[in-house]
Amino acid sequence: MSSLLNVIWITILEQFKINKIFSNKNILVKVIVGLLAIIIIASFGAMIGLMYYGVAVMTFDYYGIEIVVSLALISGSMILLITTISKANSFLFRAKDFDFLASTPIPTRNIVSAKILAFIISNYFIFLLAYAPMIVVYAMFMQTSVTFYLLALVIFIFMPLLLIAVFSFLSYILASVLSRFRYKNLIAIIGYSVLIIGVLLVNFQTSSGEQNADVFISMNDKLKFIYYPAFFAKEAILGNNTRINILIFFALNVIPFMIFIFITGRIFVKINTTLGRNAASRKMVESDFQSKQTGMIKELFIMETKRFFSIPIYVVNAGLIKVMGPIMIIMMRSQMKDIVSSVDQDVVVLLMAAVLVFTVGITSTTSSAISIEGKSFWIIKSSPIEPKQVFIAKILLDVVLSAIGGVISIILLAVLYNVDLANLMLITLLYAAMALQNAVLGLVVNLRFPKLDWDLPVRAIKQSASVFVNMIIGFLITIILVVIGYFTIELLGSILLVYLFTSLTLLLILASEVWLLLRFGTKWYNKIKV
Amino acid sequence: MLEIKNLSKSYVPGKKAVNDLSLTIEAGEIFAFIGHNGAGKTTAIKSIVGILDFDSGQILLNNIDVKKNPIAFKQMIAYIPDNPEIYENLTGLQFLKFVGNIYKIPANKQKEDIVKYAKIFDIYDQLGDLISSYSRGMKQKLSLISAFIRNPQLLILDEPFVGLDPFAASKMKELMKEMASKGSIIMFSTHVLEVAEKFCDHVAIIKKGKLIKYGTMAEVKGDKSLESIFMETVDNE
Repeated sequence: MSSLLNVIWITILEQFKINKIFSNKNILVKVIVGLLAIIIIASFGAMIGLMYYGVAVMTFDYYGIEIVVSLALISGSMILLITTISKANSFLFRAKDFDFLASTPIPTRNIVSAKILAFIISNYFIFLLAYAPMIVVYAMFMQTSVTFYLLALVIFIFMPLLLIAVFSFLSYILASVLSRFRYKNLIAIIGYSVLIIGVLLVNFQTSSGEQNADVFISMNDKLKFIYYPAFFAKEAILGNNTRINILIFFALNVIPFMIFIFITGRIFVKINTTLGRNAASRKMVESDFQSKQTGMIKELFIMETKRFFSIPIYVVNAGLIKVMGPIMIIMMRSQMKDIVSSVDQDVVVLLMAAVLVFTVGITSTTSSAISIEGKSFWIIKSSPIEPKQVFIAKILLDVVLSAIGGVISIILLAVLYNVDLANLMLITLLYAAMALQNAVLGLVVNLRFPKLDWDLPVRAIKQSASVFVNMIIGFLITIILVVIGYFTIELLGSILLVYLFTSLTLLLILASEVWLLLRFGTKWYNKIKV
Repeated sequence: MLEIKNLSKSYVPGKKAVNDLSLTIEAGEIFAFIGHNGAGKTTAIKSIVGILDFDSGQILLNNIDVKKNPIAFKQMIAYIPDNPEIYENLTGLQFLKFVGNIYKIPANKQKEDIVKYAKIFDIYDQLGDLISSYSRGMKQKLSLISAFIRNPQLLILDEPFVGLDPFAASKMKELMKEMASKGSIIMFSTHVLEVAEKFCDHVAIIKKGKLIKYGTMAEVKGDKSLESIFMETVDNE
């Protein structure tokens, strides 16, 4: 085997944990988790497919299947863009095996190619979610041939290349610039936040006052400007000048990609050296050494907070949405200003409250708070600290973040919608119950499914069993709340009672989670292998 | 022969991690590279093995320049970092075969050497297990085996004794001596001065990136112990 194939093989084995998957240990657990993963992925795919189907039904008479194809290509490109920006540096340029690989006689272009290939494969899985449903919907509305499927496959294979080349390079430039700054984490957090809020704002702006179908039609018209290569992919799929369009699409993706591999291969060591650089250190001053003796929980909480803000991807994935409540309320107010007068004010407030509860319940810092300790977990475990103190500090961080978003949101609700005191108090109760429940749930699940052997923080924060299980349980709790809310309105017709019953349900769930934590938490904590 | 000429490297402008370092190490020498924490040992070692882009200077192994011809240079070396990060999701054997393949070691020779060294280091029975299940010492042993099967002309190790049990450390020294007797250069950094004193024939002391003392062990320490020389040198400079 050539050195390229060797590195590719090893990178894939390592990256996708092939050995672990095919080992004979815990087969039952693997089958269950695998089935659950398939069900969830299939559900996501089905949801996206249904959306495409709806768009096709609305637009087929005038536009044929064109709008759906554009929509899938744009959504796929967006997903690829976000994953590339968030993962490229750690995946391609700061991999932990860099020291080993770079010290061997493997040409750097082969190392780069193997890393990029593994990166592309991981991106294919995500891209498939947006792309495969389009193929299904296309087949439902149009006659398909072998050529169509071949074309679709070629586009699927080559679509990520340009995005990966351009945005990996940009992401390197950005990281390289940031590495010169002392407060690079803060700058990165602000940058990510602005990007996400910006995308949300644009989304709200473009959809305000227009029907969804119009938005999709308008996106189709502007496809060339939104993502240039996607235009040629669409034309090729639709059978318009297929050969020329697929050639242009191919060239647009492959040529920059080859240039990217060539350049990166030449400067790979330099890139890794640059990204490993630290900003100029600050001289210590006397006051740095002065510190007051604080309580254990406060000390742990400060440490927890410092760690949280030192990992931008942790802040963006687990914390940002918690403080998004106020932004969502303001955005939704401008979005719904036309219908507010025609709909009962209480219903609008109920909708806002649902969004608030969603923002505070969708993620938690605690679902990866144990995992994020990683290989340094021995420090707390070997220190004279009660597990319960650790639990409290970890829960406290999540609750504080939720409280920041919550307090501002409640004030905004009171000011913008003149919500009366009774409603306001019950919404606050609901929000607080969800925030507490979600924080404790995250910790309980993470204690059961800790993942300390990560190489990149993103694997603990986004790609662990704990986060996955937490998401499923959170999803089930949401369904329970929706059902309770629906029947309360149907049977009792009171929105106040919706707040009350859902809050009580959450408090009951919280009580059971606290019981679990008190009863088994310390045992699970002690069992975690460091 | 390994020649390091005027090697300099800064991570932060104006602050040199390695400052104008020049060394020549002949074939067959066992060379200790010592200095306090943050002295620049690892930076120098990483520059030598071609994984750190240094600012100025030249590094040659048998007249092959690490910057001009990195592949040929690396074909001759084996490097073990201070905390070897090995692929956790591979088995020990998969990792060793990977190394064997990229160094183009014939399959029969690979098998022969892997078995030989795995038995010497007593991890033969664990080669089929995932590396994630290995202890730190076992990972260190696996890294050493991966270095020995390459039969390198320059074996360069950063703190090789950390994590090894006395038996493995003794075996490692035996094997390194055997390699040196066949003409390989063995270079390692260590804080264990007694080991350096007994085991190495050449030594360099580095402080704040600069070479302070360098020569044969006898020249550097005279009739004192290496520890006292190290303490004097570091205190005086």
